[in-house]
Amino acid sequence: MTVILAAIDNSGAALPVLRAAATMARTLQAEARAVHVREGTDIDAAAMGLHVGMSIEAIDGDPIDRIVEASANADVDLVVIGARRHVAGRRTFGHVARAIMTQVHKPVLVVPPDSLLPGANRFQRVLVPLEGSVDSADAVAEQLRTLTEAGAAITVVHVFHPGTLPRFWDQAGHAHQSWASEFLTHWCAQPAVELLLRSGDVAAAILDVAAEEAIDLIVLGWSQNITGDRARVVRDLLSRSEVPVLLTPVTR
Amino acid sequence: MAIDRAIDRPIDRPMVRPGWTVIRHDLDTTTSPRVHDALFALSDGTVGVRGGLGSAAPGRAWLTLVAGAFGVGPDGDTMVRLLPGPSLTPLAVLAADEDERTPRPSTQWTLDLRSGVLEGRPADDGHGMSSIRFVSLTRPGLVAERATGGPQLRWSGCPLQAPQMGATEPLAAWATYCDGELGDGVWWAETRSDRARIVAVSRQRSGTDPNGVWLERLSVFRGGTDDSRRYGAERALSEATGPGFDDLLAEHRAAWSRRWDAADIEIDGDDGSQEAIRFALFHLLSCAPTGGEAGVGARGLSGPAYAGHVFWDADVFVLPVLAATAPDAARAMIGYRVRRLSAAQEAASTIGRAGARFPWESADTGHDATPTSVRDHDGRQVGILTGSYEEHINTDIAWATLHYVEWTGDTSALEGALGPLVTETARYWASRIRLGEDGRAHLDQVMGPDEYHEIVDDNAFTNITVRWHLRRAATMIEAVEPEEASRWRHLANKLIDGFDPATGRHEQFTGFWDLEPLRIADFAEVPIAADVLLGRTRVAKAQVLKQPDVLMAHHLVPEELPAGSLEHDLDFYVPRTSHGSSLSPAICACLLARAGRPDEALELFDIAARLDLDDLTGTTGSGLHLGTFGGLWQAVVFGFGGIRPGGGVLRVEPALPARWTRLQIRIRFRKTVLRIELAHDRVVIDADGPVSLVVCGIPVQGSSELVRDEGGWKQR
Repeated sequence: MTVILAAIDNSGAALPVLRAAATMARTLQAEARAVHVREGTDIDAAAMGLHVGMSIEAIDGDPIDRIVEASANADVDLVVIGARRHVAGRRTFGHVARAIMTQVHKPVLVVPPDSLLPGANRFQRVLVPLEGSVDSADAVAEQLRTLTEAGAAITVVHVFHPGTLPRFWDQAGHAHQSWASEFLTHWCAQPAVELLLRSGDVAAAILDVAAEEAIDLIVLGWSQNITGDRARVVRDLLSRSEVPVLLTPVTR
Repeated sequence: MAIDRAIDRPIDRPMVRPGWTVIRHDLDTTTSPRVHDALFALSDGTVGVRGGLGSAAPGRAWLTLVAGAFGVGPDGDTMVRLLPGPSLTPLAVLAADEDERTPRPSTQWTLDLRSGVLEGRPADDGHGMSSIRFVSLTRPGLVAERATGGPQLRWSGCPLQAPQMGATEPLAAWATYCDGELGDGVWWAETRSDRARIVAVSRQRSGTDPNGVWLERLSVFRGGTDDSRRYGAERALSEATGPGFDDLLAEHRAAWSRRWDAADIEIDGDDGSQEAIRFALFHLLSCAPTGGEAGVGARGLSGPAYAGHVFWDADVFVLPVLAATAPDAARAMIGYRVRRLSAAQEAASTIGRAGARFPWESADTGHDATPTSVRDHDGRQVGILTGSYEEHINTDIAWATLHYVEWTGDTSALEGALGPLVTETARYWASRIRLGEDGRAHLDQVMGPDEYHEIVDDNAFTNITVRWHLRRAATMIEAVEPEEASRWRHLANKLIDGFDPATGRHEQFTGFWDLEPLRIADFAEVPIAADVLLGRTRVAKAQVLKQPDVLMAHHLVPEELPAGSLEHDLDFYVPRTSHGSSLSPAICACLLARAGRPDEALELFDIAARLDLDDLTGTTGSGLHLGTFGGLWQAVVFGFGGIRPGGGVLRVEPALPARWTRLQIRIRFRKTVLRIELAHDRVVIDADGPVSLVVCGIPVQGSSELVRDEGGWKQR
């Protein structure tokens, strides 16, 4: 059975992480577990676990090593962590979260501390930004198939920016439909998927769509490289999204 | 004159004909399989079958489309669109232990342009299926398929199935499907919309021989509104069954051979251009039948995009090719307009005008099929104004009609059914033009080909072509309606055309000079969809063009513009053209070549050449861009070849790019088939009948040869 592993710390982000893990478990009909690596003064993990109906395993040692180790278990399909700090109005994530995101080669659900979770206790409206590349499409394909089977409505957004502008856009009354049809067929051949096109700043456009469409989960493929100017869209989304972001690593 | 009679080839020999084949592999993951399906679409102008007989990868659209069969789209969509017909069941060959849904991977597809045959064979020469498919050029609506496989293989499925629209487009809720068996190995199937039906009958037989298993399938498709279609299809199938597959294939190949004899283009020194022009010609030569009517949609029958609607692409871009190579097919295209003249007259009358007003987009009835709104790139619902304002379609149709007559010499047609296409459309313009207090005639609130500027006054393209239109129409009616002819001439002479003698340029429309001066070529690599880059509002206020506008007038009616203005207009407008329209690069290439700048022209030609072969638009999978193909041919023939009919004479004034060492063009001018061989210093004309030409300024009759030396061109 699929296991959703929540990794929590002592911060206030722990409870949203547990709730998001529980929500994902209900969505995918999976089992949710949690690990808490003890650091100094502990939170009342057991009480928190009771609150969300989840058993929490408290373990000792280096948090990164232990969480990566726990994530490597073959039963674990998805890891849930929290983004917790606020710097000048923008949310960021600690070194542990950063290490989990880049070292665990499995989907990682990053949960904002003030996360908006779906009222129905399941992720039902999923937004998938696709740039139109083999890597990013392959990275999310399995998650999309699973979420579709779980009954989630999938909305794909593609944002035109200077690097991805179409060269041709013929008759406006038809071009949108034929372009969208071909894009979806090539990059997201799932039934009943809606494609929305936007232009401009990629992260801002994705967040706008997420708000307009009452999205409760963003699924994004990424290279797990967050150094320098890499993954700018990922970092922007993680720092500003009000809903959990599921990062799925590219597989090649 | 025949260029290839070697048309026989056993199925077990690979089909490789240098310069005549387009090859793709199923395992090419960089390209959507739907692009292959479109590239390998086969048609005879009445039925179109998307390519690929074997694999059934997710998202592939196993579509069969039939000309003229439309329906109102799925729930919530009021657009009239082509009805998908019954699909041909994929010819998957399965090993005995495989599940029927498991496709055999790795097929190499080869489209032989010379004979109109699509071949599939195992890419690795391993086990699997070898197959061929063709859509008969001699028997309308007939699709023939043959496949062979090893003895351990078996066939699956019956010959017809419900349309497979692709994973993202569930089977249309707007069409019903039913099928049944007629006995004796014959099946029937039908799709039906609110207004049309497509019926297919198919005979499939299979067997074994010492080489393994074989299968042959003949299918006939008919579209229409009445029950007799099925009987007609059954009769056609019965007639095709008699000769047998090999004879059907031989007559099909012979028909293609004849068609190429009067149409082929050879380009030496540039394999890419050679492949592209033959690929374009192949699809153009098979986009319209040679009888009845042919409403050629923007994507033909190669895919569902643009809903099968007929735009000016048909009249201005596609028709010239057929007028010069397959005049019966061109006549069928004009026949489509003739049969919708009454709808155009009704449309004009409805808005209080005289004559006929053709719609920007039309489908089966001839009434306006243009969508009225769409979501833009920012998710907003915006109005589509082309249907209301892009009225130059009226003159485009008149131009196509007269262009057809110019190539064929069929002047008697103008005295019959074709005449009103010129005169009734002119009558509309005469009632539409406003005479101003300035003493000039104006056309207010129109949209030119550059659709970035939507509602403008006195669009130069529209005014100049309408002026030409009124003058030509006046000549046609003056014997019977001299007063009206005189009025049309008066209006034509008064129409302002935006020409500025000081600069030698034409202003695209009133106020264009006042817009933000913006050379798109200075800050973006073209082609680029400038409306996406800059936003619709910005481009509307800037000197940025989607496609040639003033230049399009130079292309269609060069005699209407002052000598020398082409060069000035090219210098000004080309750097301001984004080529966001797929029609744009080829026409600019044509004009640059005509202006004596062939190497510059070739850069734009190359873009048009690769548009579908490399899926530059991202939309080839939903259909081929026939208008671009037509523009490509025009760039070669009108541009680099400098070939142009006029007054019963064919003019030839070549301007070859350095990369091309030789260009040979086959065309049909007034019933004479010509082979025109062009090199940088030599022109050879080979004519199979009488013909008047002016070659490089020298009048010649029939076959002749000219050479260029230091003293210029001389006849040998």
